[in-house]
Amino acid sequence: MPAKKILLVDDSQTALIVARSILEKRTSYQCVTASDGLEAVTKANDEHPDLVLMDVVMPRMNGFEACKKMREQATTRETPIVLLTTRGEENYMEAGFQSGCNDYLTKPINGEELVRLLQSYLGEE
Amino acid sequence: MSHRLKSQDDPRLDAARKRLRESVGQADTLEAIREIIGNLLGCEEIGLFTVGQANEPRSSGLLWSFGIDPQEHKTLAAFDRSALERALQGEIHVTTVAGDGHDHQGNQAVRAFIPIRRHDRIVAVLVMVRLLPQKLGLDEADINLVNLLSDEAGRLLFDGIANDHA
Repeated sequence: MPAKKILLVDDSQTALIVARSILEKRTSYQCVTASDGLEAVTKANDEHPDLVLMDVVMPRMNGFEACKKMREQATTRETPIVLLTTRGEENYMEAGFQSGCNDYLTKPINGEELVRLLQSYLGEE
Repeated sequence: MSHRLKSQDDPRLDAARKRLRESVGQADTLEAIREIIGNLLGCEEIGLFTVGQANEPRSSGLLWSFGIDPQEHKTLAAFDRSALERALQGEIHVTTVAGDGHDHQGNQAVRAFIPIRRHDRIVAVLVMVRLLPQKLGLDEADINLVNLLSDEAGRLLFDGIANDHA
């Protein structure tokens, strides 16, 4: 069975490296990356990830807009999307869910929490 | 509370080191610092204050900030003096400050003072003015990241820049 594929989306290369390192160390998920929402929408359509883990505040297209776009695309309509943000306020989270995300994690990433959440969508590998 | 702990296997540390060392010029190094603190340490209110030869809070000046009002933080004199003195002596100092309503619950906030070294001299203090409310403190792995900033950011920020900046 092929490895589950995660699309990691963040404009911070540091954040991408960290998320990828955590997932490659602790899981067998395959990671692909995008550096903003616009690239993420295209890449999600092309790569068919099993889950999208996406930052909210990004240039060109933010995570909420990208999430809405992905929900409009047939290829990504059902793909689980987890948004990542540094802002933990409740109203911010509400906007995330309105954009169509399935779940929400606040930065800084906690490795165990991240793996546990992704496994709850994708199963353990 | 002062800290200097052993390095450990942490993907965040490798990523932060790589980002810092690959930064090109002062502006990019500042962006690297913002990325590391925002994404890995959980703080979106940051001030970087240069320290003059007098090594004294009033001789400091705000070089760069993110998420704070620069007018309210022109020098280090606005911060707790004893915490600053420790930072100016080279200690990373983490403290809690009374809630000021920004976190909506009035909870205490965590603040960190990070001495920035360049050629064995403290040339600046990086202040993480308030950690995000979900971040209740800095653990050992966080301190390793802070130590990295303390030890390496000064050279990257100020080498090649006129001496009056550092």
